[in-house]
Amino acid sequence: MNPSPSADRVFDQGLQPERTFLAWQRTVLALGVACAVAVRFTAPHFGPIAIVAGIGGLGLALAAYIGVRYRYRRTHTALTQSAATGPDSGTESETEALHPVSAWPIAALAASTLLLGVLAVFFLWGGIQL
Amino acid sequence: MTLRRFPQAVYRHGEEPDPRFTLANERTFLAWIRTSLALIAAGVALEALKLPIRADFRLYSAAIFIVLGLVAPIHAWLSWMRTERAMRESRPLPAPALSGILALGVVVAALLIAAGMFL
Repeated sequence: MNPSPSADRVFDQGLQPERTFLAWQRTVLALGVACAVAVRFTAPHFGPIAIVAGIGGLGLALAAYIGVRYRYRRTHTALTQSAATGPDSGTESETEALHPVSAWPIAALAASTLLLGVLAVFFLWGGIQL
Repeated sequence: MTLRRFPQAVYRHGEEPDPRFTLANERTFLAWIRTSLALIAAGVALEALKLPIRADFRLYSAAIFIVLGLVAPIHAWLSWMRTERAMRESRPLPAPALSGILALGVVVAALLIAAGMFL
């Protein structure tokens, strides 16, 4: 079973970029659902504050996902292209590949989770019944 | 590309590590976020379902879960930054700081639930 080089060849046999992207997908999915549920149950009791927190959390999670998706595409292209220049082109081309990526989606996701936590505090504080 | 990468506290130090390590660090961050979601869900569920547990114990237990759920994303972000920076500077990775507190908190919350069922 000899993997033939093709345009769609993966950068890493361990599929690290793919695994990371899937981890992002399931995390953002869970967080988005949680924010939506949270805003549904806290908005009637706490009004605008809860709505702003909930929509903010949802928006941040969505923005992070869009950012990561875009980054995944770019990273994938860059990594596969640098790997295609030769198996021994070494760390130089690999390190070049991730260079211009900012970490704002990571900060955005942490902030979104914090907002969800604040809504959970509201929930407890208000003694809200489902 | 002369883009200023966020956060500068991380990216102005050292040089780019192996991308696979950066990605692994990112998945650790995401795992902490999912841990936080589970903790928040546990805290909310305890109160929302009005389980037959002594009410004050149940509320304390729920509060512990939610406080841990609030600390987790803060820790996730700080620890992602520390780890990324350590990797860029080829230093040893920082120890998992919150793990002990998290374990202790979950044990205390579980004991409160267990005690609340019999009191």
